[in-house]
Amino acid sequence: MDNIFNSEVRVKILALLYGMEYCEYNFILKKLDITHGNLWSHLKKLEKEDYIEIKKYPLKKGVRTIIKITNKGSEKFRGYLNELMEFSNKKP
Amino acid sequence: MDIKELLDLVLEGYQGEDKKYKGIVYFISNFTSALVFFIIHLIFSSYRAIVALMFISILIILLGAILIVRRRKLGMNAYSYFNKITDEIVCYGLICIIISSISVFFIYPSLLGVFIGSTYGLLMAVEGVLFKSLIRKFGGLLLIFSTLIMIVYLDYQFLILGIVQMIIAILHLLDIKK
Repeated sequence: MDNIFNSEVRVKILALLYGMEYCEYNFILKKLDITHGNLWSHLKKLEKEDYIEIKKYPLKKGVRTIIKITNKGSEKFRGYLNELMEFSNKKP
Repeated sequence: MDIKELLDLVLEGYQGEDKKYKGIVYFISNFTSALVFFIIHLIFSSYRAIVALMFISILIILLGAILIVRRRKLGMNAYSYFNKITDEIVCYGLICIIISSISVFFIYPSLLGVFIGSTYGLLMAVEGVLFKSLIRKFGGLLLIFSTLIMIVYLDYQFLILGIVQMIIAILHLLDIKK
């Protein structure tokens, strides 16, 4: 299994993004209820591995950060979910 | 983390929506359509100043559309797969309402409001089910059931439709302010 899936936060981020076209950074922050620094470091790791895309758009007040899951990210997460389902079905 | 928790999160992603954006858009569309239905009721009941009233209705619709487009340009904080599906359903639903309204208008013009109310109610209820929104489910049902009253008071069907739309608009406004 990919080492990306070793972290619970990263799995949660991918699970949330799996059914979405895109979302803002604050949406994930609110849903997962974790700290800003923690979320940002995990997002950067996912972006580095090409699981997600992070785009920034300048606004009049601040910056709008949009996060989107990539095809690779979707495929990998689907595979991980299938493995997990198989594993849980095999359990006595 | 167990698999159930993970699947719940996936479902949450599918149902993710920008509640504030949706609330504002629903408020604008219900409020403007309520005003338009009040004007249509006035036109049908008095047959006076028809051109002026039609002009005001078109202005209100344009104003509503501009406000919604401006709001959309600011962007949503979440756009999920269900949002994508709903956009398509609403698009086809609106085509259905427009085309069928023309047919109904020529065959049973007195049932026009009843038809619009029930179809729009169904669209709203479907969206409510997809996004687990009580207000939208309730609003949809309210619109569908109000058609029964419209049939009894056919002459006041657009007034009833306007009142129901206004109630739904107020419910959305209260939800935004929460």
